[in-house]
Amino acid sequence: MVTSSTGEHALSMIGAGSHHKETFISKYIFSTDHKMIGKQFLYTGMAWAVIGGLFSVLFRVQLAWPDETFPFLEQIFSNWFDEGHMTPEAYYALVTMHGTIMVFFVLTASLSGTFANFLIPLQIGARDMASPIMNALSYWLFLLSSLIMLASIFLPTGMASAGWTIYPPLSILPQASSGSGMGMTLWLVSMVFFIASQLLAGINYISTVLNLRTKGMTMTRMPLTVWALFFTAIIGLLSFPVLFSAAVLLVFDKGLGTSFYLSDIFIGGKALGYSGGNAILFQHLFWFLGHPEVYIVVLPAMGIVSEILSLSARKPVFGYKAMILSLLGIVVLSFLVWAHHMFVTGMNPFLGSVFALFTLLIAVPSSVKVFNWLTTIWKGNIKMTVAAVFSLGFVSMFISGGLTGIWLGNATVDIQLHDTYFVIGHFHLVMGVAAFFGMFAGIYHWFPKMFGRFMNETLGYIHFFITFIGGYLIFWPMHYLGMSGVPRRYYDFNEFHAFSEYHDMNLLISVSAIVVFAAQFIFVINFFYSMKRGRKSTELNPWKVNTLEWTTPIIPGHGNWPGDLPTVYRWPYDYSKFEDGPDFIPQTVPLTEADIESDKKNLH
Amino acid sequence: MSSHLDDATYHKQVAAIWRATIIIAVVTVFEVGLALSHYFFFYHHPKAIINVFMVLATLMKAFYIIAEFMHLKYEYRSFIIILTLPLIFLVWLIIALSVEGTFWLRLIQ
Amino acid sequence: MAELLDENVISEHITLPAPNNNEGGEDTPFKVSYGKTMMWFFLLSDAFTFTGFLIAYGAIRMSKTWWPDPNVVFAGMPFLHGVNVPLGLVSIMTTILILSSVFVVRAVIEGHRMNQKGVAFWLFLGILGGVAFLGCQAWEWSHLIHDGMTPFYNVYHAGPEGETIKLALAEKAKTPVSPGPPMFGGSFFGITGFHGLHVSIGVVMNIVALIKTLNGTYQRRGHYEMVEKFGLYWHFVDLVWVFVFLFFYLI
Repeated sequence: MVTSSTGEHALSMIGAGSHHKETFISKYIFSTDHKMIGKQFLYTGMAWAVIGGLFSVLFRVQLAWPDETFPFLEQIFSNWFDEGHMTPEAYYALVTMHGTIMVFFVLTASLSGTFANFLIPLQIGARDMASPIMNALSYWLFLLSSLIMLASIFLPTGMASAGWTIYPPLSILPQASSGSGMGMTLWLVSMVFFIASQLLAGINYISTVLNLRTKGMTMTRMPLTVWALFFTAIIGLLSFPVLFSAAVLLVFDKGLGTSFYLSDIFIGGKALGYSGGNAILFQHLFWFLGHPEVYIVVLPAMGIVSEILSLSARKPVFGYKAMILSLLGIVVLSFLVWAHHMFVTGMNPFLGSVFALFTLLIAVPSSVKVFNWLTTIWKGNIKMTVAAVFSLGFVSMFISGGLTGIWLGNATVDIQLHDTYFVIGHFHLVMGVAAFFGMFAGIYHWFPKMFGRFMNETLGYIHFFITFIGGYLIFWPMHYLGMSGVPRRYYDFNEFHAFSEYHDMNLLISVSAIVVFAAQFIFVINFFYSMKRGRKSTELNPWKVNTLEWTTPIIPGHGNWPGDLPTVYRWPYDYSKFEDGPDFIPQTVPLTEADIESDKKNLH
Repeated sequence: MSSHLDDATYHKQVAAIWRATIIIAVVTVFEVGLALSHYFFFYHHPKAIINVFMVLATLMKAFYIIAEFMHLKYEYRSFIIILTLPLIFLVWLIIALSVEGTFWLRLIQ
Repeated sequence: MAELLDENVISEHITLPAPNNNEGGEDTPFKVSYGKTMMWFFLLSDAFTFTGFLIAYGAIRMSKTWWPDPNVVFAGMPFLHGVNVPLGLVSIMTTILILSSVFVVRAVIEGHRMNQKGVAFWLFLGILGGVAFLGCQAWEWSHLIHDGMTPFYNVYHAGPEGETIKLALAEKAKTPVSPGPPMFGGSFFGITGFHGLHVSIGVVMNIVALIKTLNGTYQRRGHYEMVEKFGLYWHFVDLVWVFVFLFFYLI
């Protein structure tokens, strides 16, 4: 029952690869190899990250120098500038697209797309994904949605500008803003393809992890990266459909004139034909995706960081089972807390207090994870590779950003802080910069497996320190701004006497943002330079790691292992197990009597 | 599937399917009967109690469709748990939005 | 290890044995093949989509003081013009869809016995059921649209005692604002339409399975798992209908 279908299917896949000469197109473009698809996600994500970062720099320039004129920017972005000033419409559109791009295209699709594709088959000992064709299709749908979103940027009427949360009525009524017409429509079309891509990918990851593990790779012998990516796929699978239904109803409202989300609306004293809907309904449905979405963003980073911290400290990860259970706890809680984004919308206050209670519970699994990371590196002999410093940076960012989450989870405090820069500071630290750090750590760490070469370490450290310090310089002051009541999404603070005092701080944030954005090009240059010219990897296992991907050839072909699949005998964290023994014991090494004795003593 | 069905199991499976069909049919008739009896006889009485019975009846039908037609009853227990446990998120979504819906009604009244 | 490091071995595309679930000897944890696992998880996510739709409709309906009585709205019958049969057509539709689901289960069981003719016979009946259901739905939609119902206009409105009254078609032109709650039409057409789309896709899938069965593709393959996977989808469509039936027609 199980052999035949997969066997035939995969045989035809791999057979095609081995019998016919591979052309450039079949190898690099229309590839079904999970490693190539992972790289494709990575390249697309990097392109998007540059665009998203550029947008943030543009609107930070506006906030820092609202009175200056920028003729040179106007020459490049003529659509968005008027007499040297950014137009308010363009400001909102840029903010919207910055959020959309970073959350969906970079940190959802690209982060889990890259690492789930690249790592899951390699780390569980599979030749490829369960369905390589569906996997390729998920990338191509993602690219299609990317291209549609990209096209919307160049619309003469402007791109979507209702915020990345596309709250109605802003997003429905074309009269609301210039971007709510064609720009919003393209946004929605793009998102439909994006959701389809995420579903295909998620179904694939889940069935691969469940069904294609190699011999001996029980669920409790899987590396934490695979666990994290597995849970991420589950969250995506369950939350994106609800965004889909919310978006479909939004399309009905936009195109068919139904009023799911719209109640009586008057423009210029004239009533529109809508009646009977409720805008809060959309917010509920959106945040039913939107909150799990932030865990989709941060869970892969958590997995990568757990793995890298353990191998850098040369210590087994502390509390492996607790790590898995806390991931599971986060998954479960992530679906119960969505309305804490809506405390000020006028929802039922009693319901709000229930949501606040659930929200505060998230602190428990999160702090279990932080505790375990800290105890993993405690007294470890830490090798400060670039990946390790980025992982430590992740932990730092996650703690600083996570603590303020406890404030915001309280309905009473949130009413004060909602829609201020405090929120911006909070979520950028905890899921923005932190997730990026996880991604960087992963790229620096697995670069030798991807391209057979190492990235330049010096450039890596420079990249880290600028990003780390710069990241704090950008987002730390935002907390103070927020506590002073400075609201988010304002185009020009100098218009308000009360807020003009904070101009210095805005200036500091903007300058840091520009520096950090510029520093990312160090990474980009390092990435592409090292791909061609970097130090060659001559060892099979350069970082001395236990997991299976380092038992493949330096650059594995399609199918990953030339011979039989490896057999797994132990969990992936046997670092410094015996005082006089080897520093690390790969998963493929059979258990000895000493192992069994030792495992009896320290049950992990 | 690799070992094909023997006759005894085959007849047992077919019998189970038709039994489920009959149960679903009876429950449907019961539901429609409830709805129509309210319409014809108790039109000016509240429908809430009847609604509860109809929801329960539908859940029963859903159980038979999933368990027998989709064959989930005969899969591994862990598989059943993995597939049904996420539905608690939906339960919470339904509870939360029902509370909200009735709250919106209170606001306009 | 040495031969792995050999440049030639690394750069050449190596001919590899076919991967499959049993390679390495570990059984799948649930004894369910990857294809069926995928279908199950897809259906799980689709259940979330439909719940999103249904609860949106539910929340809107709960926030209204009055809602049209389905017994009045859905009383039309094909070929019986002017006769009111409350819930008549929809009961027939439900019966058809559930029977169609049963036929597909029978096809799956025949597939387990490798009975090609049996599979084809029951699949054919299942497809007939699907098409009949779609036909009924098309009639119902056109009937409602003919009465003046649109996604943003509802001709059924509250009478003096809360009973459901239909606005005569001639009156519609004189009343630009929808007399009844407009979201009745919007949610009905939206959700039954989305369900109908699923039914149509399911019919297409079953037709594909039927053609392949008749060609003997599955017979040669040695198993009818594809029929089983498509069958899962078909039962899911049935499952959704049970809830649509409840929330739109019964309550």
